Amino acid sequence: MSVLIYEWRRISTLRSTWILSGLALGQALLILLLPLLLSVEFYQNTSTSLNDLIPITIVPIFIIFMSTIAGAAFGHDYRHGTIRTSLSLFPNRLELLFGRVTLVLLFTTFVYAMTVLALIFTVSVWSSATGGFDWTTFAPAFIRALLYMTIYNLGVLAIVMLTRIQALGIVGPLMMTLAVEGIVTLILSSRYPSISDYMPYSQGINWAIGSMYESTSDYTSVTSVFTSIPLPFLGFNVTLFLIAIWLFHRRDAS
Amino acid sequence: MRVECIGLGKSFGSKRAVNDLSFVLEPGVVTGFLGPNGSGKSTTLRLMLDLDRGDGETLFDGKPLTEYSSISRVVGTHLDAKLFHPQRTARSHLRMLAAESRVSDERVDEIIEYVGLKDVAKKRAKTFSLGMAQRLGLAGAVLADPKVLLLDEPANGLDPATIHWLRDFLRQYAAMGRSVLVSSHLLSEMELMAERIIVISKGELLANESVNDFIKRNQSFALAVRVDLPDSLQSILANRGIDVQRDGDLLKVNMDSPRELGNLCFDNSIRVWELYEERGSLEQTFLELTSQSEEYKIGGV
Repeated sequence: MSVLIYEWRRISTLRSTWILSGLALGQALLILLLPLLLSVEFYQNTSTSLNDLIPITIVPIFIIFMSTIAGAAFGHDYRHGTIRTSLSLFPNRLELLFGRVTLVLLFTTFVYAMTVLALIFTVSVWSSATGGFDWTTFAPAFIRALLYMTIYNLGVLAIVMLTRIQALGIVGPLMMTLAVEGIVTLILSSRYPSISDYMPYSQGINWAIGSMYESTSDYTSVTSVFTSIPLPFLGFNVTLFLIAIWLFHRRDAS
Repeated sequence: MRVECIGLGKSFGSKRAVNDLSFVLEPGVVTGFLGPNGSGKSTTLRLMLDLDRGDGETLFDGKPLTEYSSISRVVGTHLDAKLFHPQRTARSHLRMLAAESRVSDERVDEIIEYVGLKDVAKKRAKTFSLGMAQRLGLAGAVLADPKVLLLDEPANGLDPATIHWLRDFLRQYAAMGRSVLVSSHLLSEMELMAERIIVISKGELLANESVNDFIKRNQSFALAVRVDLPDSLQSILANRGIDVQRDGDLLKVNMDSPRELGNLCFDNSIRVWELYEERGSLEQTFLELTSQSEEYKIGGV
């Protein structure tokens, strides 16, 4: 328990944690309100679900802010040498590691939940333009984006633990999603036509925004969310995280 | 609390930084930890805390650190002056450290006042001078009132008054039955602060004894005498097989008893102008001992 208190005090006493959380929530609301503020017809006056909101307000930018908080969890410690302070207090390294990862994931989940609440509230308030909020697919949509963020952040944490470089943990998965996997697919697809099916981050983001399963899967089922997690995305990040745990436990704290 | 280091060892690539190092820290004693740059002092401290993975083990009252439930009540550490996040305030930093052993906020404020940081407690640590950072590090080390203190160069950057305060503090802390290990390059300060010293060079133990024994054991000449007939006295002493070294009219003599030397001069009608025990300093003794084994020597001036 004391490791969680330590971690809470560590994360909550950094100004950047709150600035990034505020920006994440703020950008989601801004994107939601942009069509209304500019009087652009965007919402078609039909009810708005989380499935509609997540691809534009949560996945593209919100996740980056949250991954920056995750990356800083170990990144700050390595950058400022305070990993020695942390491990002097918690020489059982797995205790510190799991305490830190748990708190980071809980905190990002909290910010995510607050952001979703703010989005729902805003949609409901502006019901004349947005058509009000549609709760029918709330649970699967909410859980799918949360799982995507959690798995993505595990990868970020792993890269920072492996490389001890905070920036690489934040930029690495982003570059994989935006550029690297696309280029690799472009180059290799003529020889390996199904290569795109094995690109972890591309698979992950497609799943998160729902475009992969929209036409084929039962969108209203929570169970289908868990069974539809793309294995390349899950496997890549979890494997990376397991390697990071092993290395964190074995190597010098410097 | 008794701290026992058994066979500590660590290699960085092909370089053996610490080699089979064993020593004991006894309660109630301030132990100085000395060695030239690159001798392995900081690596040893990290090995003791299991921060670096290496050979050997360190037992705190017979148990490894991981078997204790509240680590910061067992050992307080200060390994670097700047081991804090620069954006965090001094008070927030200490409150964070306090979480491990559930130390109260009142105790945090008490320690802040004790180390003289009350006026800057809510300022970000990046604005701190080296001396203030050292105080913050010390505050973190003693926050939970640990039974063992491991301090790496805590006096660096401190002004004379604060060094004086630190010396008194550490001696008082040890006097309460705690074990204190302090590494430092300030040898004159260490001579005043520590009762025992551990000297290492190239990762190996050179000495582990009381400061007085260390100086005495490594000292060649015990007495210095200035006389009117230095040539005569030199030959008399040489005839008796006593080591003597001449420096003008001053003779350094390898004898233990000033009375015996005085009587010898009197018996030979030699006037004694000055006779005193030659007490070497820790610095002088340390430099003599480590001069052969210093790893990163600087050029002559």
